[in-house]
Amino acid sequence: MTDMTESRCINMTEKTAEKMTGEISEKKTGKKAEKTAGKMIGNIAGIMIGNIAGKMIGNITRKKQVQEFRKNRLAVLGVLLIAFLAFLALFAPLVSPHDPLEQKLERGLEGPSLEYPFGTDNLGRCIFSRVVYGTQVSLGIGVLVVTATSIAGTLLGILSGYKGGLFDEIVMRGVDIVLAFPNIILALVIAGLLGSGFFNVVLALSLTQWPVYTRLVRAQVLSLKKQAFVEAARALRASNFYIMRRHILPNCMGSVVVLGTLEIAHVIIFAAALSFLGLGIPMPTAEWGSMLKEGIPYLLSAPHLTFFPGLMIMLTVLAFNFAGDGLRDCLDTGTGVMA
Amino acid sequence: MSLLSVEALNVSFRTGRGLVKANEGIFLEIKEGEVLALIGETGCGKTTFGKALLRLLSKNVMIKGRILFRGRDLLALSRNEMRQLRGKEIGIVLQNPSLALNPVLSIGDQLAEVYRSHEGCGKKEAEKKAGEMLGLVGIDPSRKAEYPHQFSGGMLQRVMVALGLALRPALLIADEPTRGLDLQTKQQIADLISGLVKQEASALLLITHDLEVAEQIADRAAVMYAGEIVETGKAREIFSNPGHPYTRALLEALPENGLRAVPGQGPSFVNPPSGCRFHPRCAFGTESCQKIRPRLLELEGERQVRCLLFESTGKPEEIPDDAAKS
Amino acid sequence: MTLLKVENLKKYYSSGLFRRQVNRAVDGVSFELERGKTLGLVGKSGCGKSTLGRTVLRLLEPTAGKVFFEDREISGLRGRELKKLGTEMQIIFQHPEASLNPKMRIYDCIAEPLRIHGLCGKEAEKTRVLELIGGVALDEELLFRYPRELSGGQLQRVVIARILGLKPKFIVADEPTSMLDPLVQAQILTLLKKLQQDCGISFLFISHDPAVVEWMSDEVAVMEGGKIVEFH
Repeated sequence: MTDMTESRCINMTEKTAEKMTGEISEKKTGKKAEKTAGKMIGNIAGIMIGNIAGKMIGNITRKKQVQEFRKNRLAVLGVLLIAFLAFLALFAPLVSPHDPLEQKLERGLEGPSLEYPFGTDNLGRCIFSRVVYGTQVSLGIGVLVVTATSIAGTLLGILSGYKGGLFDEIVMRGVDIVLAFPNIILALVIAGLLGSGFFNVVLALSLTQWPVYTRLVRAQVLSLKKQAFVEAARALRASNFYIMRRHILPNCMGSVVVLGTLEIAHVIIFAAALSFLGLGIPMPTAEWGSMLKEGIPYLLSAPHLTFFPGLMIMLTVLAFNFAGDGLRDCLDTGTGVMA
Repeated sequence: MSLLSVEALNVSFRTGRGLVKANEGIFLEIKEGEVLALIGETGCGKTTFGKALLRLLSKNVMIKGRILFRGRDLLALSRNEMRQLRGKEIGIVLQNPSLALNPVLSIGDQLAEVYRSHEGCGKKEAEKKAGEMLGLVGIDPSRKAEYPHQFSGGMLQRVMVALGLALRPALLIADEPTRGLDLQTKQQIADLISGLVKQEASALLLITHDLEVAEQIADRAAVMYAGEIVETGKAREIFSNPGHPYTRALLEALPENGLRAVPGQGPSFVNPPSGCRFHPRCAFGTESCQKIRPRLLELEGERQVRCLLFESTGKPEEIPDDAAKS
Repeated sequence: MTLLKVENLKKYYSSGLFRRQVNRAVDGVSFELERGKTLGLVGKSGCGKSTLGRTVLRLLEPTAGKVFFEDREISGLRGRELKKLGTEMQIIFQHPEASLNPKMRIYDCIAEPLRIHGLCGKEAEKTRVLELIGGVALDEELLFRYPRELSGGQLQRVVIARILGLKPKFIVADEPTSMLDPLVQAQILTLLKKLQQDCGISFLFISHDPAVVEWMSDEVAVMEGGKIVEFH
């Protein structure tokens, strides 16, 4: 047998060899480029999702799924909106006409004008600038919380589903306990204990959100574990760590990315709610939730105080929901086995 | 009297890779109460054909030709009329029971649902009929409260048969009803289907790659290769004296006939081979096979073969036997 | 010469919350298998033949009994020795569609066993993979595809190629063709038989089709209710 194959191998066309090396090097540089790009732009949601999605989709047939995604108009709209919000967050100092903290008491509660596109609040601060700066805070919280929880939740889910036994019991009871409380109340309690502040909000939300991933991933791992390719890897006597990393994890990532995208929307609303209740970002910082709170006394006399931050929250949440739904659709259809 | 007659059916799918011609120029007839086996490899287009009859294909499909069922052209019916017809006049047993059944509904409920939606039965009556139907396919009616995961593969296949025959259709399409079952269960399902079909005087289109099952229960057989019918005739004659080289190859691949393997794979549907579609794998191929597209030749005794070897002689015996061994 | 010896192997499952029910999937099976020979195993579904195949490989831990591979008892092996066993005993599964990781290209699927066991360096890997895919008569073009783009027969060839990279001495073939068409089945079985002749591999060939087992095997064992009831 080897004789035959050897001769075949020698006859192997150069083209194939080239294709092979080309393929491998392309993979490497592609990954590098993705990584550096990711580092550069840091916590900007839109690009980051593009990045992860690109990696995911690249794993399966890239072209088909990108096409599928493009066909979904709402999803494209969502991604464009996210890109726009990311732009606002990154270039807030350039976009906003005023310092978001600068008070001009004599010009309080003005309606929209050329100088103040969205008007001013009770302290005479530019609402447009504050809304723009608020994007930084909201997207920052959303991305940080989702990154942290999705990584931690996925790892726990994989370990718990694959190992089973006592570890699984402990993790799942933890999940049950966290999920037994209404999310917002638990976040309130934690935020109340920790006090307000950016990182405390991130921590409080992270502590309430990780079980969502753990539960999803664990369920997937339980069904993946029974698949023949995992059994085949066990027959190869690959280590458990190897099987989890190479066989289980890649097959869970699609749904984690979808869930993560949808969760960003969720987290942003929660963060706004915490600020609205006074337990989020401390006062002078421009944040949509606290802007809503400050606007409440003027709801009837100067509705623009609450309208614009409210609109931004809505747009952001919609954008991530559209993108998440689109992502789910195209990842679903792409992995179906042909009959 | 023909129950279903398919005339010049072409089914193709628009895809990113181009037009996939899944079925081309198919003429086929099923008489009342007849069992017709449609035989071919996975991916030869036979499932597409079965689904095309019921218009169950995805949106990017193009169907040309005529499908006459009791004189009505199914392709001209409105969606609503088609929905009425499905199940009631033409029943189908789908390939994969674990996908076709709803895992959170009990077997009895799923069967009763058919009676409630199609015949407008009340709850009690539908349940009674469902119980009777389960009894008919050899499942103890007391198991009707159980869920699909509590059934074995063979039992699920029985449930699928019950669903397909629930409304006593005039034609039942069974798509690979015995795939992946063990020998004994396969036998039971085959007997069950052929028995019930006779009892209800329904016609049966049996889509299968299992030659043993086809041989056992079919009156007539049609062999499909790369989306074309390559041979039709009485089942007994086809199996005892195969005409088309592909039919021969199929039979010779059976373990009891020596398990002789034909190299290669079914061809692409986007760029099918020139001339006869089987010529790259054919043991008897000549140069003209690469150029001339053979027609479906009428032979004696309702036999049709799509092969150039028969053009001149008209006799299957002319194929040299030694050639098969090389 | 005996390669594999199984002595009174048992695998029980217990279930039921209140009343312990014991399912004797494999109930005291003994057999011997010589180098380069095939033992066929027939029986109805649920008779325990798949469980037996997995227990012999120690993919499932036996309840009782011994398995000797090259005169060495394998049930006590740990760590490095157990890992090495992975290169010597392998398995082919019934469902080719599920046997390969959907997220891995065919090239990686075939190279994976070589990498896990460090059987060849980076440069040699390419050559070896090409050699392997040629050995099962598949086109090199397929190396860059994903499993779902291949047919069942092609996938089963990939599975065979990937196992052959390890040069195993013993393979459990668990209904390798029951999901395939007769023509493809004939191709795969002919391939397996040819490999056996070329490389001297021993097979435990599990199937529910007596005709197929008859064709493949030197000796046939009939299994029923967890026991081997007949050898011929």
